[in-house]
Amino acid sequence: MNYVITLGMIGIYIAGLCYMIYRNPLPKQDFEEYAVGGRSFGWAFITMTIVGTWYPGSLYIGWAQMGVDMGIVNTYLIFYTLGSLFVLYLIAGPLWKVGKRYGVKTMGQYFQIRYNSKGLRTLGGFAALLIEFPWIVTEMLAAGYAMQAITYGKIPFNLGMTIIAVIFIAYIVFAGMRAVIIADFYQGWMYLLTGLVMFVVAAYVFFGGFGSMFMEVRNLNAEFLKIPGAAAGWGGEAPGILFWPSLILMGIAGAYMWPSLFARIFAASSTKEIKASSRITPFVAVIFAAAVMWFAVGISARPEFNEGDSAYAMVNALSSLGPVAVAVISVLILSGSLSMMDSMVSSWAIVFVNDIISPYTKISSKRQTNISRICVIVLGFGGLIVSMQELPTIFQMVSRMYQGIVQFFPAVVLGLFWKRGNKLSAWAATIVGLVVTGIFAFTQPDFVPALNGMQGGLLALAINFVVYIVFAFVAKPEKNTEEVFAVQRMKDEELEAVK
Amino acid sequence: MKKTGKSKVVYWIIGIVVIVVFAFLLIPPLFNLINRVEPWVIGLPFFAFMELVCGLIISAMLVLLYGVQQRRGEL
Repeated sequence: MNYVITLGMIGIYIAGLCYMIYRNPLPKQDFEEYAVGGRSFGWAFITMTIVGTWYPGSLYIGWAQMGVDMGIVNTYLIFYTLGSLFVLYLIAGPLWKVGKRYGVKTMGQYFQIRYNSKGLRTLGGFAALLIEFPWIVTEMLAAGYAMQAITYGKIPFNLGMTIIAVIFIAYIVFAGMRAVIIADFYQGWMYLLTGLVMFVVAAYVFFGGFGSMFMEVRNLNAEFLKIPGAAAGWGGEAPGILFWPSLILMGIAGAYMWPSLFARIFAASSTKEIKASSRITPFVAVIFAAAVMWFAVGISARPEFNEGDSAYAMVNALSSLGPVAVAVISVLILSGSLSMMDSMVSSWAIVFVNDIISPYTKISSKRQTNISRICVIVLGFGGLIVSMQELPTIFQMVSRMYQGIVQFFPAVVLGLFWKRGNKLSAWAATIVGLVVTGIFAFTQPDFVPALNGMQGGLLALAINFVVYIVFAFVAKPEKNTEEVFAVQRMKDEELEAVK
Repeated sequence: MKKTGKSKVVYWIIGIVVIVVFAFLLIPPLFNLINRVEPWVIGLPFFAFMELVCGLIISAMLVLLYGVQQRRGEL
């Protein structure tokens, strides 16, 4: 009977998703349409696509594990989300305008326009793709676990991941970014409303409210309610006091450098529509994320759910509430994972075609679209195969990837707001940042004890900024800099007229 | 549209508030002031309560920024 309830609910969810996508096919077989949805989406879609992509399925596995093992340090997510929304607000306008004027679809392509460098375009595309790729593993694992839970183990882990991979690959091939944004709109609402209700109810059912929950945690170990958290969760020695600010700063700088999120800026129909999303997204960050992260900390006080792998403690706890709760948490994980994976795989395929192939060969828009579709299949199933291997914990993977992606931040942000920035400064800063991060990735990937817990990627970012500024004074800006800045200052309506 | 003196003041206020809140969240000597379990406020440990307060202030500033820009046609 339980099996029927959970599968029935998942069936309704997947049927709704397929219906929404089927009703919104590609209007024309054109790369602009496939890659950025024809730059046609309003604020409601942009808001939900940010929510859907931002809070992945691994929130309930990886971030929950961090809360269960280490305590409230997992709430860094709230503040880096808020900080990154400010970054989005500041960069969205100028970036969208450059995108509209020059047909930009990716970060690499922006580099070519701003710095007049085809090589930087390819480096940006290739490195971003390489750095973000492991993220699909975290989401595949979450989806596989959800499928296993829904079917009470009847669908094994790897088969569950494969089913989910087939679903999202199919709809991206069908309608590209349009399908991704429509799917995220549908999933974002589901994620937000059911998730919020679920965690508030769970806190009351298990503990009698968040206050009593925190009391239980304090009685067990008060260190869970402070930063950096319980030393035991860190293997006996917690990182220094700079670990927490380091996590937040890396998140703020890196968030919109991910290809999957960067591309969303270009899918909006105007800068107003992107900025209008800021009326809702910050409150989601505070209320929804706090409810989930705090509840994970609360679960640390209930060792019965934490036996074996602590990554599944939150799901174990919620599943104990019965089949409806199993179905709801599974839908939450699935919708989070699907909206993250579809965004990533579609944007990687677009990056591959747009930044790695297109600059060197002349191909038609229709051919670009078809190559993107092949890339979606290769990258999607490639991610699936990697997910079936032995891997580090989800949190470790995410934190290490952020240290790499953040190295594009100076070239993007200083490029947008400082005319002196030039090809040489962007090249030198990005290469130095990536190399220094790479050295730390092999020696001290999580944090550097000698730097009081700071992450190596943050030190690399500081060096990256310095190198950019120094080289900005060594060479002259490119000839087209004034033109690009003039476009950034234009009104949306003026851009339409130019078109 | 050229920014008026009044609109610049609002932007400065928003910027300063956000920087001060993030300073409390990120800079160790200030952060140590909020990184405490006691006292409990509205049923929450002090740090969790401050997370809520800081989060809501930052969110409100972002909404205010959008509201000001929208009203003044600066979007």
